[in-house]
Amino acid sequence: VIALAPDASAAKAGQSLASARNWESLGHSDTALWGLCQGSGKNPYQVRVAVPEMASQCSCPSRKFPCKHALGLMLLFAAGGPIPPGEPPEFVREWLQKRSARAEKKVEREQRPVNTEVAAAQAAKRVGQRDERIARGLAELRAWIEDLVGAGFAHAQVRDPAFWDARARRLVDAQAPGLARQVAELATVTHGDGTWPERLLARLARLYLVTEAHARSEALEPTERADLNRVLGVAQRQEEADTANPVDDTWLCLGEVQTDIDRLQVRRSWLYGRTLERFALVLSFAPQGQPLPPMMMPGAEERATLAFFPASVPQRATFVARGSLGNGAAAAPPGLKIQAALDGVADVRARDPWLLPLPMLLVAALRKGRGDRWWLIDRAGDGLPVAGGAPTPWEWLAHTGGRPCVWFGEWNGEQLMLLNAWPGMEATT
Amino acid sequence: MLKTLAQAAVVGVRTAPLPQLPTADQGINALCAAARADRAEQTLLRWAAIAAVIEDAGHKPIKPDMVDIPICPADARPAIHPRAAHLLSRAIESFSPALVDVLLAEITARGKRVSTALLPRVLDHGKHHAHRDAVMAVASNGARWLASQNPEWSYALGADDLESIFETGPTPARREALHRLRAKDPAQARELVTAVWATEPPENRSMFLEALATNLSDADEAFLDAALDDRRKEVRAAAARLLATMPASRLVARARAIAATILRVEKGWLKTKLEVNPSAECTKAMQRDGIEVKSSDRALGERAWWLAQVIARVPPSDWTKRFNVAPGELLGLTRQHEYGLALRMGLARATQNFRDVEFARAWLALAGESDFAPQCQNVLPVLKDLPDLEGIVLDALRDPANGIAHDLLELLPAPWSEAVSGAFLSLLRKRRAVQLYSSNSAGYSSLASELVFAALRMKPLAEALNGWEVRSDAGSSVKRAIDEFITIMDLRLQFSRYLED
Repeated sequence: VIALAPDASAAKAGQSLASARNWESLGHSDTALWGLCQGSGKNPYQVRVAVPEMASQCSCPSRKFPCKHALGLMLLFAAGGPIPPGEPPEFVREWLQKRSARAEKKVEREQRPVNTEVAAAQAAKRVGQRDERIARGLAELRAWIEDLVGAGFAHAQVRDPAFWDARARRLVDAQAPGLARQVAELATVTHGDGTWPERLLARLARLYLVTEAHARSEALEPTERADLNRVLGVAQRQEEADTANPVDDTWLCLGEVQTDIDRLQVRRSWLYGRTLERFALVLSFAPQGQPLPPMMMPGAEERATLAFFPASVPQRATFVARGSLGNGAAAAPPGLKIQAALDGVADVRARDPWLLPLPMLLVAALRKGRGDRWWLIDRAGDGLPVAGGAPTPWEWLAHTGGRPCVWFGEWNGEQLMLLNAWPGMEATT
Repeated sequence: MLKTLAQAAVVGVRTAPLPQLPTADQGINALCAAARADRAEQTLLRWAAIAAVIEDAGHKPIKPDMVDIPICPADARPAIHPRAAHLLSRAIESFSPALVDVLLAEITARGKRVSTALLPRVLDHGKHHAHRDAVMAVASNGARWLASQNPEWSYALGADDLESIFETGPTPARREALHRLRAKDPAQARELVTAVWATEPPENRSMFLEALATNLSDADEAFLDAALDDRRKEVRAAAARLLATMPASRLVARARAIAATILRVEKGWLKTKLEVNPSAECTKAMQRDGIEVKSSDRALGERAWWLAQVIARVPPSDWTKRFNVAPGELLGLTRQHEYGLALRMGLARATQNFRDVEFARAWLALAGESDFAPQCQNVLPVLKDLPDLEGIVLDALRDPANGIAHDLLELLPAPWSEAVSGAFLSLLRKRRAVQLYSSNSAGYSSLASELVFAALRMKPLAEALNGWEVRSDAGSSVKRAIDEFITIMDLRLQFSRYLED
């Protein structure tokens, strides 16, 4: 529920309201929760929440959504607070009716038979316009990069951030948001030690590679074109997933990362197929302030069928059918030695020069090196640098007790971001 | 390869020539040769792309050079329930650090340990010395193992080199080190102080003397008596304060000699009387023993002021033995006495100085009298170690007019028993009921401070959560205090429940 909060102060306020003493006329039915909460106004606020989607409305004037009252009510309910079952009062019924009316309209709209020819023509026209914009944007980007290395980028370190931002915005206009983010990141590459020219050139060269690939996209395999679209940031539609070849397995949820990208929450959930021994990445999206769709908990296991999106190295997938949850804590997945995991990176690179981050399952121990640098070290004595974050490396160290165990993380080409560990469960391959 | 190319890119390839084909690897060279284009920019970028992808693919594991650490030893104590751990992390994030200490103490009392993932935050919490004891008490093998790897947490190993901290550390750390040393080895602590005494500034000298109050013994007497001749007044005063609590000190012997001449109990047929004949002057010898010439209390004349100070330096049991009177009787004789206030001040101070439990009980019995109440508060700490302290507290709580309940509760170790917690709760409710209709803002602010005081010390009771409705015109401070009280009580109740699992 806390994940729904628009910010930390709303989460805290919600938590303090999650106690029955703040509420009157509490109740719940199969579809809704409701209650009255006395705020600073004269009349108590009418708070209503639709379950299970946890959509909410409140009569308070707060611009935050969901507001602290709705959060408090949800938290109280989630904690098993004393909310008696009952018939929804008028203010709840009214709202629920409006909601279901809206939902029906939406379904109607989706099911309305459309003139397929016209629609197809419109779609083709849209795609054509988009391709044109992208082509123009990439040509500009290409000239810009050539100009940078042609004139020499000695001054890159003292450039105003606006210099990079302006270029990134051009790419947003060109409908290549993926590239736009990478260009915006260039501003931070020039910070730091004396190796920045190498790092900047490597990034520019990878971007340049995109423009070159796009220039000859006619000659590419369909999977390679899909790789390219992923880098450009062209949104993949669910229909593009390869449902003709569904992949059935017992999937273990290894870990997840949540990020905000352009007012959108994105959750990357990494799964591991037990029998096929392959990774799958399931993305979920939601506008800010709204709940992400439910997903498996990290460490849990589920029998399910996935469809992968076409790519040179198929990684992203979507659920075709979800089955039964495994019972109890799932066993640790098998982990690799560091050298073997890096060999795997080389295999991926041979097929897709851009794909990042890459999932890694390792058997290793966490160690602190000099100058607050952290490492995963395997039995061969090989090490991979570990990125700081939340949880902190100290928390991971406390959690695993310094013992070797199976780790899961995302490799970003330079560091491993730790996402999960299975201490005390020895499993090796 | 990337480095050579980057050097060229920094300068710019429009004016400078392209670098030579940069590697010795035939395959890569062939690839680069094929990638050569008409314009130098394009060639350079293509080569850089090849180099970047190759570098990415060929990432080599590093063999970092580091000391091997032992793995974490096992812990016999079971970890707390995950939900209890969640509440503890919430307390660390948002509430008062004092609440964290309360929760840690409960974990310790139940023989459990903090879950491993929370240890770093708990160890951070203990970095402040106010919370150190709570963290050290709950520290598991895992916590000590972790602390051994992070110098910031080394305190948790309990292996601080106190002696060297005292000799070289900054002032607050020296004070802390001296206090802990004194608790461990009183003689060594005194010798350390003696060794640096001559070269320390006066603020430090009086601060060191304060540290000696712990584990004070006759072995310290010679050193302290010498300090009575210090150049600085505050150092002399600190030494006199300590010596005045040692029955066998020369300072007390000197005070006894004076006192014998100024106080007598006359037992007559009908009435027992207190004969007082205060010293006519404050001699140089008296001044050396820390007796102040000028009165700091307007209600006392000079002679009464000297009298109070002399009496304070004499064990009160002297009087009861010598004149065969009970403590209560002696205190009673000061009523309406010419020197009554001075005598009460002196006797209260003496009760405190010599930790005389019999006298303290006598004071307690007189706490309701306005003449005795002001001094009574100072005497209560003497009752701290009494086995029946809880009974005394309960008696005080049942009498709503009793003004010393709060002071007595401060002496009681937390968490209070269920009986004391319940009695305090009903006392608070009674006071609240009175104040609800008086709209007396002073009453409300005292209720607010009592609630804050009780929230961390009470045994958490379910009945404490309800029945706190206040009038709408009550100040926001009392509403906040009630909210905070209920929030803390609720969290502690849940925490206790989860600790049972």
